Amino acid sequence: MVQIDIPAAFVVSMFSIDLGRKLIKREAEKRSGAKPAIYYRYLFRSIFFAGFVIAPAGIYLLAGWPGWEQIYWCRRFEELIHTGWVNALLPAFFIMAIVLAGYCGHVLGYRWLVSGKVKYLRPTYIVVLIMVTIVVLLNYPSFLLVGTYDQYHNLNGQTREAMAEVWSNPYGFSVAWVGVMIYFIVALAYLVLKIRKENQSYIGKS
Amino acid sequence: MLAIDVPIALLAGLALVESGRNMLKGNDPNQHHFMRSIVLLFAVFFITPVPFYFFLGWPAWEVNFLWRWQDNIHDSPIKAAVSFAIFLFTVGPAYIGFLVGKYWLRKEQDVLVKIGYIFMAALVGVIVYATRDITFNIASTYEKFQAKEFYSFWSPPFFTGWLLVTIYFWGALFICYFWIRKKINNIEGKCEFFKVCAVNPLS
Repeated sequence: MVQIDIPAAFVVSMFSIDLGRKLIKREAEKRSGAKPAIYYRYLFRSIFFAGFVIAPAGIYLLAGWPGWEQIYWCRRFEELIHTGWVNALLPAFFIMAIVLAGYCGHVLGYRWLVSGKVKYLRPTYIVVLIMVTIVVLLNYPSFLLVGTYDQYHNLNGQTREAMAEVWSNPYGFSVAWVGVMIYFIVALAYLVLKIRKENQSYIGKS
Repeated sequence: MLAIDVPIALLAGLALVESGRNMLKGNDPNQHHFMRSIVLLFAVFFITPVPFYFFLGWPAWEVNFLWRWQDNIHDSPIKAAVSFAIFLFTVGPAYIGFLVGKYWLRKEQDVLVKIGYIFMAALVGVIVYATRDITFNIASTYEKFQAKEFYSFWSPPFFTGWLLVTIYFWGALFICYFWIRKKINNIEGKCEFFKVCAVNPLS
């Protein structure tokens, strides 16, 4: 979902910084002032995760099921093909927003970590997660129904009754969604394990 | 168009290597990590959105009117999966361009980097010329193109959008190229300053 994907990139970047905080802090202290190699290593990971995990997953669902992917907030997402240059920009903006959110999460997280404001790090991404959950829940039952903007909002002679429930695998949606979630969870687990392993080897050495 | 997206992404990777050659020739891991992150950031932020703009807005034109499957990708898990491929076709070549360029620089073959991106630019020109019939004629679907129901590349709104994303990509590449060069000059300037100070601490 657009409403989840953009904050998710921000949260994952901050979460990475939080997981690797001991190692990042030590490396930052070694090179006071200048950014250490570990800054760029974590930046690379954050951008890679945003650009290769969250963005493709989001754009995949946006391309296949544009109404559901933005929980029927805007009809323009369903009218991309040959409808002018403005609507076609929406997927491009979506990708850019995900990458930018990942970048901002990294920069802000790192800045707080090295400037003694680490106490803000965890509450920030937890609050963002809670806010995203509230936004999605407030749109109940949009995330449980697959169809079009007009169907969801009962417009142009179409009704919500015509929409299918997500667990009935309408138009292959459920299969696609499960595939995307597996991809995301495996990638996230790999990221977490990699950072933890790095941290443990640092703790072992020190 | 997908046919030129790959060489353009390779060109961007090589051009960024060229701009950061002094960093990549040195042995400071910070500078290598910096360049690697910049290339990835550039690829996902400035390259990838462009093919998606065309693929979801003008899909038949974007795939050079080769197939008809792309005319309706809604409600199909298989067709929509091409989104993943587009990410690989844009970020992949840019990163490969970076790795190859870096390899050449480290082997003291700087000229190959220059030849590489000039060759890619020439290749783009050749592809556009060779496919001019499909490049400069826009149709909404494969069937309409076959039926010769198309309009000119230069007519709005297609041309407006094309101009916008072209300025976005090439403008970003130009700015990023000179930003990296400036950053290197600043670093080298500081190094020179410290060298002078080391010789004459009062200077």
